[in-house]
Amino acid sequence: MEEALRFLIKFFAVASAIFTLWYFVGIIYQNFILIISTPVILLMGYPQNYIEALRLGKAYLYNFNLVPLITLALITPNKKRLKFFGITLIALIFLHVTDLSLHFPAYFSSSEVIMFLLISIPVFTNAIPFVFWFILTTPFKTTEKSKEGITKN
Amino acid sequence: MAKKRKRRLKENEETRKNMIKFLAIFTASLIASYIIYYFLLKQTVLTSLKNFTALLLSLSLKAIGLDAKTHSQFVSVDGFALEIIDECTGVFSMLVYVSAIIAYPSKREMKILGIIFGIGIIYFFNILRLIVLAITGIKLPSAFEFVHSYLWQGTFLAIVVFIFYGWILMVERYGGSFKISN
Repeated sequence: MEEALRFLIKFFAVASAIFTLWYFVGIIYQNFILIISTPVILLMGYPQNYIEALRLGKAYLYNFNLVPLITLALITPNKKRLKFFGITLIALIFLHVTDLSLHFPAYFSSSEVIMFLLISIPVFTNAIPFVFWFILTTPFKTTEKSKEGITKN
Repeated sequence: MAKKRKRRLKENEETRKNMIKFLAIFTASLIASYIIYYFLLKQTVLTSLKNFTALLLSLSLKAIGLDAKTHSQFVSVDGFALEIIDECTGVFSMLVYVSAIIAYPSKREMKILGIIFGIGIIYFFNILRLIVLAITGIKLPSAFEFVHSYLWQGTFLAIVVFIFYGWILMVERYGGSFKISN
């Protein structure tokens, strides 16, 4: 349990520093997501002036779980962290683009399917940094005990 | 030498299989629990949970000497108003946590214990988070947005990881498949 507590303290210290930085530079990432999302929104049939009228404000503070992901990447020592960080980052960018793009049909044609998908995105953006941490810290080797049939899944 | 290589290859194969199995079960559980939340709980249990959370927050604020009032899922305190929405109940973090417990190989009793205690602890931390938020809103409104965002995404992930980590340590003592190496 001591290890878990040490982890928690380390996490808060690093996350606070990164979040403070993110507060000022997050807008760059938000603009990057908007640039990638623009062709998707145009493809869905929404005109350019709709996109230009978009006011995202400080949405990057709420939706973008990059802060915990970067924190976990920094505090989890593992040779493969760069590779997994890359994969996880791509997955998060994909979800952020989907999130922004889905807001258009959700706002203009309130469909139940779109709302279902849109609300699911925070669940997955919450899960992604967690899965990243788990993969980095778990050897995934079956122990003797489980081979003996003590554990069941 | 060849035997050693063969054994290592077998181990790598086993590691990959276990990882894929965990990810597959985790993703399936997350999707299933989200569907249950969206179609079954959102309009029923969640509405009651939001009202209960607002009531609990209001009582906690009163206990520390603040003049808090509640009306369904709204809490007003010293001219500052808060609305408890789905995310404010910690439900999304709970879905992630429960899915991870389901996907991790362990005894059924351990899973049930992990889910009951874990959800309780997540909810407790969520109430603490809301108290901090309400106090920030009253005393330092300019910092509210910063604290709200930070406490929402950063802290919550850390809490989920912490509880899951604690649970795994407990499972390891009684027999678990993959040991954590942090």
